[in-house]
Amino acid sequence: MLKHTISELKEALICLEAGQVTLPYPFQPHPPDENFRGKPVLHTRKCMSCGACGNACPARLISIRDEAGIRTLSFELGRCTYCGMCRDACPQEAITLSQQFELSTETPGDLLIRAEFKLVTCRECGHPIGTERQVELVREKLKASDMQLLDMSYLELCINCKRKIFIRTPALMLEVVS
Amino acid sequence: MNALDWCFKKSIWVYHVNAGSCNGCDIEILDVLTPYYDVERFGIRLVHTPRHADALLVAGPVTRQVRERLIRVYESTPDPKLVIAVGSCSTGGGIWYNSYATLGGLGNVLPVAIYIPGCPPRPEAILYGVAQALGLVPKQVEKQEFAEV
Amino acid sequence: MQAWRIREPVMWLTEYLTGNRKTYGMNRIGGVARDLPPDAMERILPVIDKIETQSVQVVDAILDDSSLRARLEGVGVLTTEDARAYCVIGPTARGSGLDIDARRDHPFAAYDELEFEVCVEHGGDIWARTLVRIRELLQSIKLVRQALKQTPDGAVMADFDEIKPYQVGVSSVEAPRGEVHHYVMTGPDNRPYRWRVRAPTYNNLQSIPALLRGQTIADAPISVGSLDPCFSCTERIQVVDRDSGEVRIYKQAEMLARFRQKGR
Repeated sequence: MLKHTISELKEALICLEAGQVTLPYPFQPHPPDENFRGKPVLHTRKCMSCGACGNACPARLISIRDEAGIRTLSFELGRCTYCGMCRDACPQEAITLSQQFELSTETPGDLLIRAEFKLVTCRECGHPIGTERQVELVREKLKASDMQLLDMSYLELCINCKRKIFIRTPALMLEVVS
Repeated sequence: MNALDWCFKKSIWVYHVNAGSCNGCDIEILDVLTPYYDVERFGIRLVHTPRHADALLVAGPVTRQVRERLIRVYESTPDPKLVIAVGSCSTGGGIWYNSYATLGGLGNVLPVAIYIPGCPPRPEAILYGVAQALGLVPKQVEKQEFAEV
Repeated sequence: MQAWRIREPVMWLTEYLTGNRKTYGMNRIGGVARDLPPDAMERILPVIDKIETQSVQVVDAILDDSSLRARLEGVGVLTTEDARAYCVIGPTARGSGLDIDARRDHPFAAYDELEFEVCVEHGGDIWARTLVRIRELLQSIKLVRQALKQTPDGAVMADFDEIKPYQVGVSSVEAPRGEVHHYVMTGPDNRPYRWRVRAPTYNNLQSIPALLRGQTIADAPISVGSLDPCFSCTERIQVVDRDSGEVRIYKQAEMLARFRQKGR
């Protein structure tokens, strides 16, 4: 009987020692850790709409569609599991996972990110090459590297027309700048 | 606002249903009752039968087996009631959205008042969602659309 | 409730280490997704030290609580023979005197390099299972300290060329409730094609008839709860005919007959 009373006193002591630990959450914000994986954010200035994120997403909620000269990238975040594979796959680091976790809504359609990019078309055949950002990226990479294109208008062709021109002028299109 | 509305805004009793979830959302719902987040200070408590409940907290993409039981639970809950979908699985099916064994989210089975996405949603997010369902806090998400002109 | 309070700092710690409280997203083929941050040791060790002191304090307080022991001792008894016959695993089996632990018997990850003790009690009642879990908590803290000291430097993920589709892998690890088996068949596009989990609760729940025999109804919830069942892990199979859309559930006798027929 005495042992029981002592154990009850110990339990009461633990509760008293702990005191009040409740976080004042709804009245004061409780931000998560900076590593927290919250709602994905697309940085459209960096995105080159390559589709690597779409390949990596386990819930397959990222879709890319080309239509009427516009490439539409859409993320239906209703079923997102916040795993971060899109962020890991993106070569441009255009996707980051923010700290936002208060995502409740009456309509899951509100959890949508849609970005539309203009497509550049081939000057020979009119087929879409890629988005303006993609072509810009190739231009920047070439400028920053040791190699130089003899004719920069080569970048405005689609892959089939590039092949045709290369067959006609087999001389190396790239030369190393010393 | 009549007396019934006032009571309903202050303390709703919730009944938790696991509609095939992995248990992550269920444990986070249980976490909301623990000392750090303590939802009981708002008068919200977990009840053990749907007949006492004001709101149903459903977690999980609804599997085929659970569907009839879920509908039975919904029908046993007296009106007025709120159905709250917790987690990404009940919001849109999660990664099981096109599986042969699930029905792709709670929206396909019951009329849902509010969805709380997250995998699992933090206890704070669940608190926020329930408060939003009661009309106490504003919605924070909106569609993000960008068009390169 | 005090135990939940003690547990919360672990959730915050995992949020710092992996980005989420529960779904860590660390598994990748060939290793883990991200490395420990550089100040991991300074963050992890104080948290587990505090958990150890607080847990020991709570356990010390409840060990002599006679109302708790009256509730749990002698209730929900699973004898050793029944435990072996129903093939229970995890703390349920260890509480009934069976000395099984997949971390020692089929070592995976780095468990063959770490030292720990398998906690076995012989009472078979709920109190024995509780004691097993308490002792395992302290063993886990010991394991975490050893692992942190012995972690080698180097890459966190192995390089590999491609994942061939339609290859099968089966693994068995020790989860908190017992041994869990995963069966994965890889598919095209580097995605899994089939995945099946046999969770330990599936085994443990089979022993409920033996557990509940002779008990009062008031003891039933706590007896079932002492197995720590994860009801999500128990499924009955519904067979759906894809062409006709017909759905049926197989009864036990029919399923056994089909399996025996297939095995022949």
